[in-house]
Amino acid sequence: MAIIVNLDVMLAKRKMKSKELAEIIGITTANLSILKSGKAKAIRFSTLEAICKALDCQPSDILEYVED
Amino acid sequence: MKTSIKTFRVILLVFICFYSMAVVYFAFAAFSGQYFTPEKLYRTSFFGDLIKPNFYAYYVFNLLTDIFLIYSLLQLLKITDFFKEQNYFTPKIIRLLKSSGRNFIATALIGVLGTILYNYMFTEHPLERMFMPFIHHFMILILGLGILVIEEIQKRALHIKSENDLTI
Repeated sequence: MAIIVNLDVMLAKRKMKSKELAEIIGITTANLSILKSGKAKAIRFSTLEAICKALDCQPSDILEYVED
Repeated sequence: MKTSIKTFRVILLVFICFYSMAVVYFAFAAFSGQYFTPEKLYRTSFFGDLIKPNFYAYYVFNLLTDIFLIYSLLQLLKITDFFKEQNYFTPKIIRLLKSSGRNFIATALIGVLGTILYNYMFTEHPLERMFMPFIHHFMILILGLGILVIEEIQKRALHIKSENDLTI
């Protein structure tokens, strides 16, 4: 896929665990795992907003476009 | 499970039971020599003037129609099992719908051939007698095609569902 999710990189930078983030943004760890692994087909603005707020970052820090 | 699905399930089950019993009875009657048309209605056909081969030729067509119809109805019944488990959109349902639709179409087509064979061999006015059975088989054909249309809709629904499930 052309869109890469760099959520694990941001989590490592902020020294935060997936479980913690899932609890803060209010989604299940299973869904967060889908997002991290790149299996997700779409992301809601509300989820993106919550992730950015929790990790104190910009959407571009989490999502990256790479040409195939 | 919704009442309409429950009702559909019960009626389908009752119909399958009665239809299967009728098929078994007809087979019994046919093979024990009880089910023959009066000789005045009999005319020379594909197997000359031999009554038994002509009857059994028709019987094979009839049996094939019954088998395809019962099989497709059983597949519809199987689909309702998924509804019981709240699984409305699964690849298995799509496969069952596709198979069921094709079997209904096969039932209609074999039924038409069987009707032509039967009326040609055993009735006085074949063309007049064929009209009503043709409408019956035409309705089964429409049912089969309708199920195939629902299958296409299910395919699209499954795609949308998977997209929705993978939207975080």
